[in-house]
Amino acid sequence: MPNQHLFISLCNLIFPCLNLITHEQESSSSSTTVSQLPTSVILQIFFKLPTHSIIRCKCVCKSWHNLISEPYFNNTYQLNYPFTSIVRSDHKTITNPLDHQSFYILEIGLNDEVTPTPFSPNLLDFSGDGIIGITGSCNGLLCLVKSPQLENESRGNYVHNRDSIYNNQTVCIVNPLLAGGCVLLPDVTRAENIRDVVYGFGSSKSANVYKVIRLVIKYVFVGVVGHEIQVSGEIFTIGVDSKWRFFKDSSIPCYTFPCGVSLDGIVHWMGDDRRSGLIYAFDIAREKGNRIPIPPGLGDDAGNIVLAVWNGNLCLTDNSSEFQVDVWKMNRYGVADSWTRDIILKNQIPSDLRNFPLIPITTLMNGDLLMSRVYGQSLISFDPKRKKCRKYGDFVVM
Amino acid sequence: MAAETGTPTTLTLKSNDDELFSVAESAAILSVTIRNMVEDGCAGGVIPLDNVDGKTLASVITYMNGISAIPADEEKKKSYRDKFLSDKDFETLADMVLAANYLNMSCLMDAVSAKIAQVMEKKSVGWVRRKFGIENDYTPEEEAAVKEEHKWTFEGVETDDDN
Repeated sequence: MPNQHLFISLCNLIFPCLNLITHEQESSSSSTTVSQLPTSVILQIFFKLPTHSIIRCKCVCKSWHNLISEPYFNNTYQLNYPFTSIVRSDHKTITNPLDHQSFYILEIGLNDEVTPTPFSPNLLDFSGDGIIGITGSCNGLLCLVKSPQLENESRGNYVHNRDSIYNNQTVCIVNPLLAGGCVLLPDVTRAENIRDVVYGFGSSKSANVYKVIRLVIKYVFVGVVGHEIQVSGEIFTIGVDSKWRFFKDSSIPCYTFPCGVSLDGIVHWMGDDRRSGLIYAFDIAREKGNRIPIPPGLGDDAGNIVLAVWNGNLCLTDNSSEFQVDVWKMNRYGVADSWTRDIILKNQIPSDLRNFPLIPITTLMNGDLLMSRVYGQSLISFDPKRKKCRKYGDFVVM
Repeated sequence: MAAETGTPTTLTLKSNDDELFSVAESAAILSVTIRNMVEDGCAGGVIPLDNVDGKTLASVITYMNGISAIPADEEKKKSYRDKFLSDKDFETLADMVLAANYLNMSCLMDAVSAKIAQVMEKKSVGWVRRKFGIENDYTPEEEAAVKEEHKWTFEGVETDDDN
């Protein structure tokens, strides 16, 4: 229950009156009344239901609704859940928050069957036009960022000065399982000449906190002609801070991949500094950035390298080569020698996926790595023992 | 414990409707509740299980014997559990989950609760209320609102025509 305290402070914003109604009484032995199943047994059953079924159970009665909406339930469900549920969104879709069909849940069942379901998180507090993207997830909570759509850009013209986009981003935390609304974060700090902004979201078990990290990479003009890159960060602790806090860290890379990957209280971004790949790791509890060793011989374009978590280890796919995709896994955290590589030859990959970077998503029940292409919903899994790829059913959600 | 003598020890279990069952100690101690009683020295006499009826206990013992006869092979154990639970109706499963909870048998608890989850996964809200004996305490307006809010979870739900 390490996160319970802050979950409550977060969830109180969502549900002002949460009362767990329990009926802890032992059942009599009669077979006909199931009604007195103790809450602990009900929970054991709930933990084994896929996400859409558990949410439907909120409609059964008020006490089930409250039980499922309980922050403690949500935490424990994440830990006990035999299925994997992944919320994805098509980042490229312009989303009307009242009609956000671009969100869907991939539920992976006990036999690794994948069920995609479009779903509508309640984002009413997040209304207004813009592009909504998922920038991080942790313990069932999602961090969403909405960027305004510039008028010129919606007509297809790229706008070079992106300050008005980044300065007007709004950030919210939403729990699609609790599904009761979202927590809106205060306005971000304004800056000029921004080159890129990336986000990360993570929790620290030891410090009982959820934090959103925002890395800002901007140009600083030097003299008449030159410019250099300046990096800084902002941090927001959910339920504690009333505004973003600035932090400076010279180890933030000049270029980073948009979404931070959260593992054991540390958020990771793939980045590069002038074409040398690196992983930037930010410790949520200590609020301290660090660089951790990358695999040897990694491709030199960080844009082709995607981080993820696989079987509890940091992993990445390197899509730089024409002939193969390298899947690297760091078997002991922070140890450079512990990176191991599996190679997927492109000719093993179904032809419609072959020419796209593979994005690792999650570990399947059988230990395989589930991956998708960057855009679109095609999925493949990689079996590290047999060194084989398998295509998942092609489905269209939208 | 039993291993010292070399001959298998047999325990006698008593259900709450006074049926007596003999079971090998090695199988019975899959239940942590029974194992604790054995360790506390209750094994000589009859072990009373006040929260389990005879019909359910017979079933649990069948499971204990079946699963402990399988060597350490998780796949075979899993397929035994699947087969064992495949023909059980909802009421029987509910009795078994309670028994597994009382007897503190985590492997049976996991298997039965997973089976119940599998059975109810696609069932309607009405089915769940009936089977779990739950009274609908939503007003019609509240129920309509909560169903509307979670409308997307109703896709693929079986029609509500079975008992």
